[in-house]
Amino acid sequence: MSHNTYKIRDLFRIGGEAEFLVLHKDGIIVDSYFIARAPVRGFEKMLIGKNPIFAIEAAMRICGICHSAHGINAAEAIENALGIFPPLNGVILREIVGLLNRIQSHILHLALITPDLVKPELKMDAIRREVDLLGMISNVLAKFGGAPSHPPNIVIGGVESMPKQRYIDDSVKTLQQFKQKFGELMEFFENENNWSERAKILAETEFRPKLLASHLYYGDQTNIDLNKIRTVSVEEFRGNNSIPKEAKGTTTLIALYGDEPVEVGPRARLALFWGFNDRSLIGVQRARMREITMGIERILRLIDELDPTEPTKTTAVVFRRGKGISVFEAPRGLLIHYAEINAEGRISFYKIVVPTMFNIPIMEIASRGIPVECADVIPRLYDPCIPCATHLVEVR
Amino acid sequence: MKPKVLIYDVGGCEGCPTSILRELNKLVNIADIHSKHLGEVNIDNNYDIAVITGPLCINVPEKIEIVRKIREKSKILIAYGSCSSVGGITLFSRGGQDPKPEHRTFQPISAVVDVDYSIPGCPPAPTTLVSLINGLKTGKSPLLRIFAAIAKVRKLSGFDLMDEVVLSGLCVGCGACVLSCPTHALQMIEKRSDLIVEKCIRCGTCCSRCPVFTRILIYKEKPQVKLLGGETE
Repeated sequence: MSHNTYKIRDLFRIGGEAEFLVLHKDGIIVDSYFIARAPVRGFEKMLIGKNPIFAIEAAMRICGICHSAHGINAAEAIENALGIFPPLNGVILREIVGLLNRIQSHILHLALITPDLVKPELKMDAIRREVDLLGMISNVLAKFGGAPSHPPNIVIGGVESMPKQRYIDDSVKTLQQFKQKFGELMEFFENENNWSERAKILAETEFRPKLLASHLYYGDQTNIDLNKIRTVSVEEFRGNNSIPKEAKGTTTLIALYGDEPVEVGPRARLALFWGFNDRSLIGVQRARMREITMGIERILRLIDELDPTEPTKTTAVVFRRGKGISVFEAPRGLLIHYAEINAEGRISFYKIVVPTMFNIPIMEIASRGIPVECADVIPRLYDPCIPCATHLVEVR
Repeated sequence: MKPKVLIYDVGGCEGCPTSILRELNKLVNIADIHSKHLGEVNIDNNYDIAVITGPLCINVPEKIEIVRKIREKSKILIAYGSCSSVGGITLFSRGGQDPKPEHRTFQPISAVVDVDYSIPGCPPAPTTLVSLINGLKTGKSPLLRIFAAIAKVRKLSGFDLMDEVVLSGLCVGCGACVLSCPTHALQMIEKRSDLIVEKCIRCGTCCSRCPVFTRILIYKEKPQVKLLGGETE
């Protein structure tokens, strides 16, 4: 250890405020610590005593990037507690909104990581194209969700209303245009002549962590063992004495599955439910881009399944005592909400486990063996979401 | 010459800075944008305009210092989004949550610095920022006086709209508040707005869109409009 030096790097081009402390020897990383610096707004505590209707609006505001995932998860946890289910239209519309949010998040991330992946002279043109795509997908989300972020149409019992047919028709056209434009962008990224040196290092580095996902598109708690999920402090995970003082004070915890770190997110979903087998580090990004194409195709199929003559939400909502759990595949991976409602119909307990908490130890392990000059690209590759990650408490 | 604009988040949900990115292709045509989402930023530099997003946790002295420094280094300071401008949902934060239970109180940035313009919204429509920056160059945008007036208050919500406009009998039934509410907390009943109280997240968007409320606020606050050229009105 005495031959290593510390290097703290502020992380730019990620969702939120964090630092990455790396220990390296002869320019090669031997260990690292991901340190969140955002204040803890404390949504779980904020929700206690509140009406469940408020809980949906608040949960969506945990994160401005994966807002819909939190909204859907909160609604389903409360519905689970109340013993109610949305009608089929409501479930389909929720999946559409969730996938639009996934694509929106992936495109935003692509704009943030593009300078790492392509030659410097090519980045600005690519970013401009990605910003155009971000606008297109956000407009479609506004039509189905009611807003391009924090979509208010997600309600307890289903989705507020069916979009007007002309909005659906416009959305289909936009999604088809999006698919074509994104296909051109995929070809650009797959062309190795456009790659940066960093991209080549990521492609040459194999990384095979354990993977965890519950579903390819939505979320299914029967595919995972919820009892195996445990959240711990960094001190508990690493051992208090082994953590450099510069790495202390993080505002987030770590999530483990069966007491082991697991990778969640696009590559885990595609590997476990679709047969994706790229185990290089750049495979994480390839999986994310593949999910964009698959998401568009899935949304177009789901739109065909909507029945405008049927309801989009159940009106049989009666608030009463109950406990509920919901599992959803957010853009970054497995997201879990736990809700308890008391006899007065108010929230008495609320807990959230977010995907970035699973991926923090994975990022730290993935960085080992990487040249120190590339340190910042590893966390960026896993698309950490700090607003989400600073809202987790220990799960009972 | 394009104004040098800093976009900086002090601990929000990231919805505001990422929504601004949706207008990046327009923004880069009118301003020189510096944001953590685009690369490294240095808050020790001088900026023509600083746009701060996210709420200020007053239990974290480092964050207060950052906001003060940005104020000192910028000619015009804009609080962008509800958390930064009027507190928004984070006003409900009460602390007690691991691993930082001491993070108990979140306030708009105007709690510690003078703000020139406040744009409520959760998030605001990002085109608003484009319009405001253009207005700061020409002095001709009607948004200037509205957002300068909002910068003088520390809170705004559906409850204020009800008190000042609806329950006072001044609501003209235009529906602007209903259309603007990001949580669908307002509805129109008998040509007057009505608040679904459990849905109000105290974002203040309704107040900023209400033609009556903004007129009252401008009359009360008599805001000074500060332009990029240094002149004030």
